[in-house]
Amino acid sequence: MKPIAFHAVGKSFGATHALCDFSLEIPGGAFCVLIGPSGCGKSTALRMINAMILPDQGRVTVGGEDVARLDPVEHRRHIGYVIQSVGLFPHWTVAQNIAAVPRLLGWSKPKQADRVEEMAGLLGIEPALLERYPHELSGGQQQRAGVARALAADPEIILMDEPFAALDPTSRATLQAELERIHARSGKTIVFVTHDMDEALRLATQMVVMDRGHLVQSGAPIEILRHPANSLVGAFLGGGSIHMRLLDRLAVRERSTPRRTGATGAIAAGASLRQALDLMLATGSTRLAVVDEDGTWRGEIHIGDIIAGGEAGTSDASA
Amino acid sequence: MHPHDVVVRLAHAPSLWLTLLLVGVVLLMPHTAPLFHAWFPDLPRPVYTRASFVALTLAHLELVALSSGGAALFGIGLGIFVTREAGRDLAPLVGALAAIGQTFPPVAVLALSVPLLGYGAAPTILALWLYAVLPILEGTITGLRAVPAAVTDAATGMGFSAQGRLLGIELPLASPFVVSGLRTAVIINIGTAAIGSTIGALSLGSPILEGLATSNSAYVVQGALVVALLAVVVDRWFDHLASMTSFRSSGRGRSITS
Amino acid sequence: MTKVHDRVLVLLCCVGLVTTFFAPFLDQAPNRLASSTPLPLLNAPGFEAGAVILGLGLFMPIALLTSDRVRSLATIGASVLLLWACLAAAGHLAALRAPSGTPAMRLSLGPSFWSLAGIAVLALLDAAQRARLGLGARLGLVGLVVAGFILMARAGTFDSLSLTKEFLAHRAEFATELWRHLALVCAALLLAFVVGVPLVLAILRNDALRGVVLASLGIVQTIPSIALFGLLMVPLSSLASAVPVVKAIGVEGVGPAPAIIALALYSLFPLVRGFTVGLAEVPFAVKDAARGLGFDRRRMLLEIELPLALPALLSGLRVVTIQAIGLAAVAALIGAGGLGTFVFQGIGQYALDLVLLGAIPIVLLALAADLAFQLVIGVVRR
Repeated sequence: MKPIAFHAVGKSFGATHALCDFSLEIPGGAFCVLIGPSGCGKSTALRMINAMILPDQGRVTVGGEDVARLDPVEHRRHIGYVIQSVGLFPHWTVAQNIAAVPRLLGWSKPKQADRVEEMAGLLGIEPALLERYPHELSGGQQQRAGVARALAADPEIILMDEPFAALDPTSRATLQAELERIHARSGKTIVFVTHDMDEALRLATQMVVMDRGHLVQSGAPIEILRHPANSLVGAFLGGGSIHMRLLDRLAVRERSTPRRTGATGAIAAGASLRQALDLMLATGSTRLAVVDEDGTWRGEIHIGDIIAGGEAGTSDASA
Repeated sequence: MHPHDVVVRLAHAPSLWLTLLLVGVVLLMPHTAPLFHAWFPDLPRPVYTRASFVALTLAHLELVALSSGGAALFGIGLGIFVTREAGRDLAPLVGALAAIGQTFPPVAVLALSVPLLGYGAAPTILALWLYAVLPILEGTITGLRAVPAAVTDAATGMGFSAQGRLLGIELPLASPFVVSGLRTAVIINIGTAAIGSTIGALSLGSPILEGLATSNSAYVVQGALVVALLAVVVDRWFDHLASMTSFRSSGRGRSITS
Repeated sequence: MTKVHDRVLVLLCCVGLVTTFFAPFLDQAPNRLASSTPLPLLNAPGFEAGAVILGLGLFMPIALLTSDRVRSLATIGASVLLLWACLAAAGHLAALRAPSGTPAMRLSLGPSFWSLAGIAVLALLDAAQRARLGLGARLGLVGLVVAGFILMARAGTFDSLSLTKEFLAHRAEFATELWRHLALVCAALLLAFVVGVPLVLAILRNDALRGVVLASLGIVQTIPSIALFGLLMVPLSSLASAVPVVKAIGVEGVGPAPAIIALALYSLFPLVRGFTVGLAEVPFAVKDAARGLGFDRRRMLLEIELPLALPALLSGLRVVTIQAIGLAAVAALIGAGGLGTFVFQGIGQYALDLVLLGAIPIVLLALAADLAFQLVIGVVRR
């Protein structure tokens, strides 16, 4: 797995500084989400990885090699690329679109066809849709095809620029789940740009908060939620509801204790603390039994565990 | 606006300079004999004198103005009629006619008018009129159809009468399309009017055709130069007209009021 | 209670009836210079005249039909009948009026013929549009009308009309000038392509240059054709006399060289604009995605940009072809030949049927080009 690194990168477009002294390391296999307000330079940083934009100062390296020294066309063929407006080729069928990069790489026809079929299966694209043209597809189906096209040549790195921003909430949630599954299974490095905090917290293993061309904070989502580097990050993370978001990220099993006080309701150990709180509010009880996936008893969680965790829990960060 | 600004604006407007150039060329043509004599030493009479270039230009403009003016009245009128409730049945036929009619070459229309109408200025004007109606009609229909339904709906809801809505809302919004059709018609007519000389109409084509018939290249150059300039000048002025009408319907108008 | 469902048909029928009774169907003159006497349709043999009136008269009951589809199809039938009947009536009336041994006798098609034929074509067009006929059905309809015409022509129906006489008298010339006309158009389009494609590639990524090029070509477009031909004559003839090689390859002040150059200059603007607009309208997202996936510039142009710009390019080419077919007629004035030769020769000699012999094929060529491009664009757009 090739790591990606930015070394003191600077880039200006006319008078605007898109990136200033930007340094970042993305380990191989990471799901790195770049997040920040619009104009913060996150898309610029993403597009530097596949040499769509070259830095004015500093270097971007992929697997230790300076991107600026690579043949950009060849380099891009080994990196998946998905954008918000999808950019499917309107004059090609869905199957031809998915096979675009394998064809560029000179794969044989049968190998291309096999891969198209495999990708359609992976992304849940019905075989009947493969011979259709992009304009005959819904927005969600189009972006599935877009992701399939990016994955088709089995690249080690996938770049995604707000890929789900234009989708309806249901399609977005499904595609997020599938992307999570694909990442977990393939171990590919994914660099993902979004301005949606919930999406970032859900998907990221490494979250990078940016503002006006600068890297403000980088780390695991839970770290950033617990220790926002400054008030700006805090505000961007959701201001007043930052602790609720933290509850979202923490599992019940992390706060449950093996005691038996006769709680009436039960909740799964893998559920989030927020779901536990929600269930307490719904049932009016302050205690819940905690059970494993297979239904075996594990302990209990009390409302005090959830609330005390807010401040006190910051010390057991490595949980 | 300060008078100085007006001067600066005009200095940057090529239409003004080109118009002055055209007037200068037309007025000075009788005095260009030495020039053309030096250019074409073999020709005994190097400047066309059968009619003055002022008369030729005016005759040419008359042909174009009468035919295009008539075509504008008829084309806009018919375009309005077929987009009203009363004329809606005719709309598909008229639309198809305007589209197909424009594939007829203007010269062919001129030629076809001869067997029916004979020779002279009148058949030329009629042929030019007939051809000019088509783009104007198409522009009017397109323009009136492009008026957003929400706008006409709002106008009706506010209590505009049908006539007030047409004159106050629909026609101003359609005017860029109408002007564009008129521009096409006038430019084509300037060219076709020159060919009208072959069927006996006096125009700037007369020196060209006489020059071609008698191998007098100087006549050809003189006629061609003036009629080319005329077409370019008229086109430039249409450019101004187009930008005047378009700012009303697009967002550009806002910068003027602010 | 009967109700008129198609007021267009009623209008066409009324106009047709008025011209039938008040305008000459043919004009007869003992020779080209003598004044002519009008021949109304009713002088034609009863069968053909009856068929014309029937075809026209059918429009009235058809206009009362309720179903749109049935009405359109019936209109198509009635207008084809009207068109064929007009042709047959004109031919047979001419044959009736032209005794053998009077070769100078002129029998020309009159205003009533043209109006009735025009009404038939208009009704046909309107009905074909309302019936939402596909391209194949439209082509079939055109084929049907043309087949009827050819059958009648083979049977000698039109032999007594002076238009046919002019055609037969100029048969060899007609073929030559027709090919010449087409050759002028093709040569000009080819030249425009050879110049236009590099021009488009040059201005594609240069906004400033694009403005200048399009503005200059736009100015050329406004210059009247006869003036552009004339303005090219002088420099070309000086070039030919100064450089013998140029003259040796056939470039002269008059003839095909200035005509082809002028036609190519006119063609450049719609061609270059259609091309650049088509390329500019390729969505940014598509180009961005293609670049990101690793398309190099050549593949991007050939596989993504050109196919997507093709409809716009073809529309530009359609405009250019129709325009060149028309403008090539004017080229006859500077000795380049083509169908315009008949037009201007006819005008000069007061031979009006000769004018038609040039003008009608020019119009038909333009219409055929239009139809052909609509077909191709329809296929490309899918």
